[in-house]
Amino acid sequence: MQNIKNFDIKKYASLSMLTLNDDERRKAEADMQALLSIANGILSFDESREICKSGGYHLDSLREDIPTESFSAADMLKNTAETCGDLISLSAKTVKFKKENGSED
Amino acid sequence: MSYTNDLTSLSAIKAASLLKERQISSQELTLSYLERIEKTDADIGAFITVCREHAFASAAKADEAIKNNDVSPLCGIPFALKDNMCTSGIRTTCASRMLEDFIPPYDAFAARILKDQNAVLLGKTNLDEFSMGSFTENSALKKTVNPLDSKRAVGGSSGGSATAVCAREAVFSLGSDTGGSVRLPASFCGVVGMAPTYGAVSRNGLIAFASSLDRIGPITKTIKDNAFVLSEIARKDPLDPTSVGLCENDLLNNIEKGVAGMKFAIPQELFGNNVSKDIKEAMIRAVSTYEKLGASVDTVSIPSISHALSAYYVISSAEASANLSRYDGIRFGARKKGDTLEEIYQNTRSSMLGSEVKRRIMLGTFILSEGYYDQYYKKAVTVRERLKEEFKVIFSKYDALLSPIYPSSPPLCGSNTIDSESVYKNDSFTVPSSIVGLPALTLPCGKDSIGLPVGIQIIGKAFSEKKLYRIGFALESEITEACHE
Repeated sequence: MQNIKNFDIKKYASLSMLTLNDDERRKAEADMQALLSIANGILSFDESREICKSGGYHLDSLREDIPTESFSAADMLKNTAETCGDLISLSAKTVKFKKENGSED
Repeated sequence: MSYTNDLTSLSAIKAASLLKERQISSQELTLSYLERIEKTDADIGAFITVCREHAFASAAKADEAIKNNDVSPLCGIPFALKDNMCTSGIRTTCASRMLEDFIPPYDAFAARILKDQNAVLLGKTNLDEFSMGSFTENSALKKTVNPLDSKRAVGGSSGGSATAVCAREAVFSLGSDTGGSVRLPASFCGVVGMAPTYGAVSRNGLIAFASSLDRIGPITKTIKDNAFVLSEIARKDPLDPTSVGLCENDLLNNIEKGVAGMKFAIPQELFGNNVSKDIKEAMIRAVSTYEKLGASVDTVSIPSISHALSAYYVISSAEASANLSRYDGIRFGARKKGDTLEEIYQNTRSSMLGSEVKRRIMLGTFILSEGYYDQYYKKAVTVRERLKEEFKVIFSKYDALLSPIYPSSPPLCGSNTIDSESVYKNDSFTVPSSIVGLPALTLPCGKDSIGLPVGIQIIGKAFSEKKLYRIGFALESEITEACHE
């Protein structure tokens, strides 16, 4: 992963046909950190990962009928707010799906 | 009988009707808006250029056309254009010193459609420099403030366009949306914004930021107005090979049909702990309204959304680096002196481009460079394809997705310079639909605890704008007070 300390700002400014004086370079190094940090998020994407192994619901299961015990999102959100004090705690109470092995998630 | 109420409060549809019936003239309407701009724009700064003489000439031409019964849908209606759309003979700056004196020799396709219909261009609105930013605070030429609260950000990058409509300085405006630049300022200003499907509106004449992401969209006071304008500007353009227009251009047809039987979903990834209580409460009220109207609302997971922000910044920076390489001080735009060709390039670009633009260019150069292309750009494109597939599966089951536009109330002006990483991260709500080119509509769905509007985002599958307008109209009818007739 490209660490900001290794990001050669002089090199990439030069390749971009930009020149930065010392003050500008110091400021740009600080500001680039945020942008580079966001871009570096892409490095953790595992291309070989199947969708169903991501921890989310296997999307193929959406092709099946949604179980009848699904409930309105508004009620779920309201109930969660009352019991948890945090309006959203979706992981425990979202719509149930069956995985390929028959177990529910 | 002539119309005697405040002309600047008219919707586009009502204005069109009054013009056709000759209850008002385009010259009267245009004068009202120009007087309004003169009165308010010094305080809010929506416009970079006001085209007073051009507007009067266009209004006179519109009135002549109406007199001859040659009335196009948008004939005589005053509008504003984001200043990154070329307008022949009228300077187009992209809010950058690089193009401060640039006068295009041709009109953008969308601008040409409006001109051919005798709509009246009032002026060119402020933006973040080259559309790079989320608050219109990166403009090199003008400061724009939120007309609803001058201490708060107006949103960006189409901040001037949203401000103009909110402050009744234009009946409607056009903005451009790359990662949320129509939707975010529309939300902050309490107006309606649509980022249509990529390819619905021609990008010909839109000064490029990221060519695979840029889209032109209308900003209006109401849902019906938005449908009205988009119906006219969404046309296939032979000069833009990525343009396809819309499958059906009568977007107003059946807009009042309601949402009974429709199925909506909220992506978990866009409704987490970073969303403020005010925003969540407004969303819950909107969800309850939709359920009352006969729709059902579930929650779903779209796992690749968690990488959408990174993918967006990688792709957009790479494309921006390529697109902005044309600003070299040679062919057009500003030029600074140098002893060699390379010095001309460097001196021009270094002194004429703003710091955010330079950051994105440098990031893009890095991403596309040898050794990093596979790690960054190729991976980002893979995320994009994966996300496209995930959305496809979702939309085989649901009519639309609902989400917030922004996790909190509009921040205070200048706060983006304090915590820039959070500013970038707050684009998380708008970029997922952007990187796969899906249409996304925003409209006000309530107010926060300090009285500022909260926007809801409605995302649909490709070319489902008609359905999105129907969904938006249903909510608007129930819960918003439209300040229009």
